[in-house]
Amino acid sequence: MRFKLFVVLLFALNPLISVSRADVREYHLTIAESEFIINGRARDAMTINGTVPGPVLRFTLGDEAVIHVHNTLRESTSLHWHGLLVPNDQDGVPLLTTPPIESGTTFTYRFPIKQTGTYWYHSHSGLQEQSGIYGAIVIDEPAEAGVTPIRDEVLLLSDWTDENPKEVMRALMTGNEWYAIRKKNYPSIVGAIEAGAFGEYLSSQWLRMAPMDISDIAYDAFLINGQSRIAIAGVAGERVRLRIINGSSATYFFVQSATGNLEIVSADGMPVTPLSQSRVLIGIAETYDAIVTIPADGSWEFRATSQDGSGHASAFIGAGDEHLAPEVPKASLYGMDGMLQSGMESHGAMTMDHETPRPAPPYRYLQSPHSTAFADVAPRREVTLRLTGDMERYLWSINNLTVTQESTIPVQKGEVLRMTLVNDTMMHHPMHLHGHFFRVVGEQGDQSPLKHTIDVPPMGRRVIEFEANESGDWFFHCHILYHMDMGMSRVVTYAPSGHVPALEPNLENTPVLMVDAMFLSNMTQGEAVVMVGREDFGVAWSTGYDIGSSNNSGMNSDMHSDMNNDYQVDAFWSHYISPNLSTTAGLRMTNQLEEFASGFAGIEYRLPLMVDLSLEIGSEGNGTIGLGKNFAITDRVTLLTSFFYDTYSLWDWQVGLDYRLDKAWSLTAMYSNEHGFGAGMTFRY
Amino acid sequence: MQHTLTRALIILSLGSGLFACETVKPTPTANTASVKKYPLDICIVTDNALGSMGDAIYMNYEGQEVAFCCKPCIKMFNDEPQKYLVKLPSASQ
Ligand SMILES: [Cu+2]
Repeated sequence: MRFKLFVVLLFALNPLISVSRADVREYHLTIAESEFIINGRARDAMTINGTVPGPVLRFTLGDEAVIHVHNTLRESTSLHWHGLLVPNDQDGVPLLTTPPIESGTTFTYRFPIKQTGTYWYHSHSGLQEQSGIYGAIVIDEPAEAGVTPIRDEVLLLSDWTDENPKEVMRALMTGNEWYAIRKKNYPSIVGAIEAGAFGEYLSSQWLRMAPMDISDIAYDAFLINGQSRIAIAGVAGERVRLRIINGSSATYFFVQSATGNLEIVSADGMPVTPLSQSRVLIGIAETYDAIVTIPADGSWEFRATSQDGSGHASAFIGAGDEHLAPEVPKASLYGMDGMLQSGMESHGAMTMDHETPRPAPPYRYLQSPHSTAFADVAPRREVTLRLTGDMERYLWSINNLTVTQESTIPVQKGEVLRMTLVNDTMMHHPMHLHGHFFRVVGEQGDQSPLKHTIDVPPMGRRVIEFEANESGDWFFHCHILYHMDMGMSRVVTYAPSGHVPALEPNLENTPVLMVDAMFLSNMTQGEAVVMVGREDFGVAWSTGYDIGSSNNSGMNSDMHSDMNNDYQVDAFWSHYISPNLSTTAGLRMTNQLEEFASGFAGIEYRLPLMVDLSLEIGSEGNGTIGLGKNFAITDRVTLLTSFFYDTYSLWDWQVGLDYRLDKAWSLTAMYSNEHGFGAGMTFRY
Repeated sequence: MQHTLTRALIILSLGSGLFACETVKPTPTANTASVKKYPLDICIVTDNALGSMGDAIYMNYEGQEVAFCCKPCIKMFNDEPQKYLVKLPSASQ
């Protein structure tokens, strides 16, 4: 049962074409920063030839692709041909395989077209993909006399934010909860009670589980071919091949058609034994070809619903009365079962039927029409890769190391490398390997399907294997753009050990500024922090401003007689060890101690029920113990409580209410035993 | 000064007491001498790192301590315990 990928490719290749001179198919792509109209409104975008997405690049098997990319951005760019088997130096990963296309220059990609199917292309530079630099690739078989291929339509799904993606990244890195609140995906006490899941909520608080989050970002729109609603032609009885591509930066979609079941005939460009599914979860960067039959006159909705339930995009096929696709129920925020369903299924535990409302990706049903087994003689090797991360600090890695810390997965030419991907996080990760197709090892045996991208569900696992039949360096990474840019990647390298691949710097150690400041009528407190990886360098302040009180000249006044004008300013350094533990040290300037300036060191530890404990010891021989807990009453209303025992000022406590208005602002009212009652605003940046 | 230092020490020891209590497993296994300790740092069902989904959950299964990354795994384990118990190094003995 030996099989090699190129055998299938040759098998599909018309011999006449293969011996004749290749047709050159030439495209010019101009990448620009420009306005683009989405859903009737002009948005700042990065466009290809003036549009989002860029043009569909169509080729025929055996063509020679010649693609001139003109970069008019103020920064360098790149294009990667996702799923295409191209020479290493044409793969478009800046520095690693291909030089970055500098501002104002043109680069010409040139490669032979060796496969058929549905693929896509996108920028591999920074966060440009989120701004619109992506498009579809369709490769047909050479026309056969007398055969009319079924009509096809490209449906390129994507997610759109009006924010600058760099600002999105900063919000994620600084732990701003706004995206979850805006999507109504923020767990709260009232929400849990309403969902009849208060016990679950309490239990997850007790076990210190981070809030579940299906996706990190709140998007402004979901798009098919650049708009949230498009129309495509179709008449009753017609069969249409939908070429569905998920070109999102961070969104999985459930796709479904009002016309009836999707007949899947290809996955990631490779043919599969036809499979009928009513609703399919498509991971980021995957593609499926699905045939639909228009049952009657009318306008039939093909709908792509974001996995987090925050929106959808539609393509209406045909004209006339509208027939809508069914709604997808939202996932429960509280019960873990729904969240972990695909993870559990990946362990083969539950035999779920096809028709569950929020299905897992259909991998277990995907079957290659041919054997994909590798030659028995090829040496085998196995590696386990743990997908690791920390949602709260927004750190993403493989085996707890970012690509900066460990860059390569070495392979030997000729061997078959089996990778077991174990997801130790509470998010899906769509893992993509450049330059190779891998077998998804599962129930299909020799006919395991071939893919270039695979979803690894939360707490789930996948086993994939590929034959090392290339040379050079090939990127392997999570295709959530923001995870990849935090270093959740590796380089699969054929080079001898010691090779250090060149990569553009990622964002894991980019300093970001975070501000959380409360300005009330009686007091102010807050912090401004520069966060770099696991380190925080910041200033924290706290003071009342009871200007009216009489004898308060500060440092000379009696320590406890006039608490109102106590102030404290800390310059600190914190080191984040885990979501439950960090250490801190710094310099304190205050009028509460005998010395104006003193040093302190301590730890912050998260107790069960998500209670924050802080312990500090000062150079003055003073010590503080603090307990704090924020109760999410509703998604927007938080009850703030904190208690401190300090060897100087003894007991201090604060109780407040915070009402979240938007990403930056909330209304805050607070009673403190030191400063009394006050009201005002809290600002976050 | 002396007296504040003492107080600070009291606070610290109190705090570390809390800290220490807390590191005790949240659902401790019945404290009988015959319980065999769970030897792995991964979930017996999913192989996920213990602690990767909040605190790990421990359970006594017929004298053998077993650990789970999260609650849904308990159900999976109870459905087919033998399938998962073979992962224990002692299973071969
Ligand atoms: Cu990821």
